[in-house]
Amino acid sequence: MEYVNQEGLRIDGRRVNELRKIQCKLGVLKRADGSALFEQGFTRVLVAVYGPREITQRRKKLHDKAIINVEYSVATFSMTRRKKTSKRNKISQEIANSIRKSFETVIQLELFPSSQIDIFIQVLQADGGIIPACINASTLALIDAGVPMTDYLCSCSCSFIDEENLLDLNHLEEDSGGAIVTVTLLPEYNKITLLRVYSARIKMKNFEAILKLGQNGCQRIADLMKSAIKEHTINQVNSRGIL
Amino acid sequence: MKTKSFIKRTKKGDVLRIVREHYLRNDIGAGTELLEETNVYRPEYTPLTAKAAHYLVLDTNIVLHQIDALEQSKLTNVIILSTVLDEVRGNSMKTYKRIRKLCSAQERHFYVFSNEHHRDTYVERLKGESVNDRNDRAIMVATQWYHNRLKNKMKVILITNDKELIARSKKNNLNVQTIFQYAKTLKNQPEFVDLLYHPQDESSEDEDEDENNKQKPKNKKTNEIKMKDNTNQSKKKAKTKPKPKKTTIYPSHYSEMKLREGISNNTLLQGVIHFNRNNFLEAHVTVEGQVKDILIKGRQRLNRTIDGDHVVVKLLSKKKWTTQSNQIIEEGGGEIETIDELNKIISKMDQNDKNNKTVVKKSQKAKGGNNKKQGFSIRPTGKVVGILKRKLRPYGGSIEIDEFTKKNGGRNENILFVPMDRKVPKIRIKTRQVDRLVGKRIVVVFDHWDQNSYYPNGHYVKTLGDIGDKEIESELILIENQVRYSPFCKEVLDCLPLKQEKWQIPPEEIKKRKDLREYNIFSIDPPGCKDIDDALHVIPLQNGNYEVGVHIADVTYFVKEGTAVDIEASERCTTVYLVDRRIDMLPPLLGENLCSLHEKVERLAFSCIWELTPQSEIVNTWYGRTVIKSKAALSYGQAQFRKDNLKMNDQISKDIRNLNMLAKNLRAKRVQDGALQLASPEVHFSLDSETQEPLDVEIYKIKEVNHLVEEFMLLANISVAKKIQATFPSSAMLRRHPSPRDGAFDNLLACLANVNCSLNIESSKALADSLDKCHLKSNPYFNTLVRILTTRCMTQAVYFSSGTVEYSDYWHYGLASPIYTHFTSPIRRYADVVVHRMLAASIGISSISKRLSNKYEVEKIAKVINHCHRMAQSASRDSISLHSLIFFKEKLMDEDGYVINVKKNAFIVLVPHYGVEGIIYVSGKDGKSKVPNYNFHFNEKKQMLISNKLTIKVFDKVKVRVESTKTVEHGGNIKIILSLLKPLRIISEYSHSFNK
Repeated sequence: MEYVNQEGLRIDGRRVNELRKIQCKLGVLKRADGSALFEQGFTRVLVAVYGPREITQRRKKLHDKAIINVEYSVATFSMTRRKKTSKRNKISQEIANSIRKSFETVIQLELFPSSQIDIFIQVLQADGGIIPACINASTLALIDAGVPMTDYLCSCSCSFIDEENLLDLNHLEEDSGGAIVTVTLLPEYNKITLLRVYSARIKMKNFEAILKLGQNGCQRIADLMKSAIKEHTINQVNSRGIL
Repeated sequence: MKTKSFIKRTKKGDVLRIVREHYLRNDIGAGTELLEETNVYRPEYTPLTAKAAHYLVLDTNIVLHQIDALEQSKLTNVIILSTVLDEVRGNSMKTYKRIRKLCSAQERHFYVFSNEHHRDTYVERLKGESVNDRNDRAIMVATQWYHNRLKNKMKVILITNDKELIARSKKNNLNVQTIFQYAKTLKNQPEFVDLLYHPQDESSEDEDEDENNKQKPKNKKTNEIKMKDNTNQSKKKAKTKPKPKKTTIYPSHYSEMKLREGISNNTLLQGVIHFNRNNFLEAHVTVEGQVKDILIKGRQRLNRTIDGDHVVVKLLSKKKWTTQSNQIIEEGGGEIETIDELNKIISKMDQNDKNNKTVVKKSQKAKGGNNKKQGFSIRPTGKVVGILKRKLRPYGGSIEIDEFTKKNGGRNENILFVPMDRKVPKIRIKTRQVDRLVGKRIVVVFDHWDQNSYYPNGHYVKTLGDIGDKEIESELILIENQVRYSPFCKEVLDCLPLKQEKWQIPPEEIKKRKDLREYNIFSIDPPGCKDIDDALHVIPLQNGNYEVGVHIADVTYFVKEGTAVDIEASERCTTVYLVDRRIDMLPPLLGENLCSLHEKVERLAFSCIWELTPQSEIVNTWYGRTVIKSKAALSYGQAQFRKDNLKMNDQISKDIRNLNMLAKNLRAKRVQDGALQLASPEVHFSLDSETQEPLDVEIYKIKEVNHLVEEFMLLANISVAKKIQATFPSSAMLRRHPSPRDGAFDNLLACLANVNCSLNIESSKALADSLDKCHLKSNPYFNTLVRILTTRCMTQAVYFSSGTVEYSDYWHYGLASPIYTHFTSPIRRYADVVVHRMLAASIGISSISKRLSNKYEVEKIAKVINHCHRMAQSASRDSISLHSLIFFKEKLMDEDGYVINVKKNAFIVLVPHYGVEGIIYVSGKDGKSKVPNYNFHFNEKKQMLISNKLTIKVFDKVKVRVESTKTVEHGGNIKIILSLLKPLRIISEYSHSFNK
């Protein structure tokens, strides 16, 4: 398999440092407090946010701040092979956990003592870069719900395959056997909150460059998200006839 | 930066629907100097020049079939479309790599245009359109795009042989030509036409327009078929284009469907075909999981296969099963033109078969069906019904010269190419430069083999040089045996220590190792040996025992797993020894210097140290990395002298005597266990130091000290094998020597019965004992001769991964050892390098890699090593043959020889003094006796040729004349000719050449 050909094109026709086509929609679900649909190529994630609201499980209650509850589920039809995955399996829980932890750093939890914020993530289509898409979608949904945050949380994946640093892997590239590096960034502070390297090892000398590429990608995603939010806000303002 | 739109592309797997994104871009440039492009992304290519006469766009089939022509010729300014590249990759990875290499060649100006990802040239598959048609359309659209962009600046020519594409492109006002038409326009490159692959008769290309129209649908069909299935091609062609003039010579192959069906319900068998060296009309197919090979005889049943092909075989009914024939048939001189002649040959073949059959029947009756003891058993016989995969490689050889070709040199000509490999049929090639090819060694590639063609068709690739030139011939040997002989590349050399020759052992490395620098260590090797990989020491201990150490060059210290030098070594696998040169496995800096255990320098070693009792029983064993300083590097001769000369009382001489005593015990023990002492006619050439011409030939003599070194190496190998097998029960790299196959000795036993000798072949012990008893008073060479022939009955020893074979099968037959491996020559064998790594891991001084702990991976490595090993041996043999040829040039010698094999129409003679072997025919092709007054009759049971006055049987001593002459029909090859002098007196007409 040739992941990057000599003309510098990847299998799907992108250059090494290009993102897939990204589309974001906010407020797609009416019942939820906040919701967002995030599409990156064929990867499509729907997130619903409820809260801050009263805590449902008493023993988890914290009297000085809110807790975040993340549920991650993958639709049976999301991959090439139809497959049922339970919410309780190890991988799902691990992903949910890492998403929860990274949001704990940006949401101002101490404003809502003894309450909880629910983030329900549903992967509709999986074509690589699921975790970054989940994080980005959650950020949008949280903003839609009006949850106070110190910064956005933007994420994207990157890797080192065929002696090239690749940005934003699709499913085919994720299966190449190279390491998948997921970078999650606070775009304003330019600080990394979550960094996952899995499925293979990566050499230290390559790592610096990959990280830089990932950060760059995150910044670009942040710009796209910001403009999507702006557009959504203007639409809402217009529809309510305020301006 | 971002794409404009994207479309779906579906790809159906088994039942999956895979959806992938496909981005179209607008930043892909046309890659030419003519257009100024601002937003082109990566200027890493060499642009198409503005000065060119025209730009070429190639079709997929052109790239696939004419890759040789593209490589060899000087075509420049070619646009390769990504559609074409993808299709090529799907069809042949090898061709893909070659075209990629071409594209990156600076001077060729090949440009890859990613039309599949270009916004303007992407073509979506229409409903009902086949993939091929879509791709053809994509090629056309891309050509159109270029055509429109370069309208007045440059001519763009589409080269394709597809009739429909030509027609459609013409409709769109594009310049389109077939490769043949294009080749004709190239006036300054006459050889370009020769390089072309001819998919069908060129005559049809030149026919009139209306004839072309008539043929159009048919040709289209053949083209399509060729794309999909090469084996089917000829069959379909025969259907669509029946030629009344030529009858089909070969039966059709089955369709792919039928083959698959047959294989799945076991009516057909698949396997790899191996041709008989002595008879090109006979082959056997080894089927996996089946004990007996399937015999295939006759041109028709072989049905256009080439040695090594993966074929499908249909078994014939049991009535038709035959024995292996006893004839030697070499491919005859001229091409057979007429069918009459051909039929004659075929019918003769049948007759031969029949003859054989009747003989078998008779003998069966006589023996009451008990034919096994009789020497020749009936074997399952079959015919080839399909070829799954051809095993093709470039073949080296020369062209056949006859009167016809000599006269007509210069015009476009069909000539026959004679490969060096006797197992490969002659190949017909087309050329315009006959006179330039005469007397040259050339390389030819196989194209296809039609049903109605006697010989396969191929095309010329390159000329190596003159026949008979030693350099060229040696190169040919390397090519034919697929030996990698190119110099080491830069990446490999970069892996070596920076200081080159001045490298010294770092002090911290010495601390890690056992320091044996003060020990009295020495090495014994052949004179002039530069790569010394083993050394020895012995110390008498207080308790009467001896400490003996074997020290092996620590190659793995320098060659770390996965580095470029390791990968290179794993591909070379072994150092190849030719008579006049050596093709190294490791770069000389390592092999001859840093690893080699030279005297009086400090070197790293991997040691195996035992405590042995005076009876050579092992008390304990120690393995580990050491640092040593050899006190002396002796040659066998020097060591032997020190041992024999009792006056020499220095430490080394004493040590040699001690070692010799221990080695003798070891040897006695081994012989008791049943180790075989075999023989082969190894010869040694003494070369002229300046011209490298062979001056004299001598048989390699073995001294006592050779055995000394050998015994301790065996001991080390066995100890190490046990150790690594214990640590890695499933993935240790070991070596086994399977017992001979059933029936392998039948022939030899029958021959021995004639001279009242016999061998007991029940076990290696029994065989060794009976070999010792085989002596004839009249013939002092007899014993060696029997040993040589016994060796040829054996199977070859192979490397394997311990997990793939039962423990009982680890047995090494020749050495009579239950377990064995190779540890002692890491400089020249890759297997030893692997074993070193395993041993290091098993004694806990390094960790084992994932690869070496997986039995399938190790088995894969072992298979590669086995193959390379066989090839290397064959290359050495060929090199010896070559040098005997040169040695006998313009010489005429009468020598003693021995008959070693008797066939129906010939017998084979070995001349031990020169290690030369040759065939002497007693009857010609027509079955008539070649010897006046002697009408030889072949007695199969006794393996004798009997005439009224004389019988010739195996082991007979004969007097032969050895000379080398130029043969006319084989393009001026030099051949050694043996002719019989005694006991028959000179009959030189029926002499025949010794093969090379």
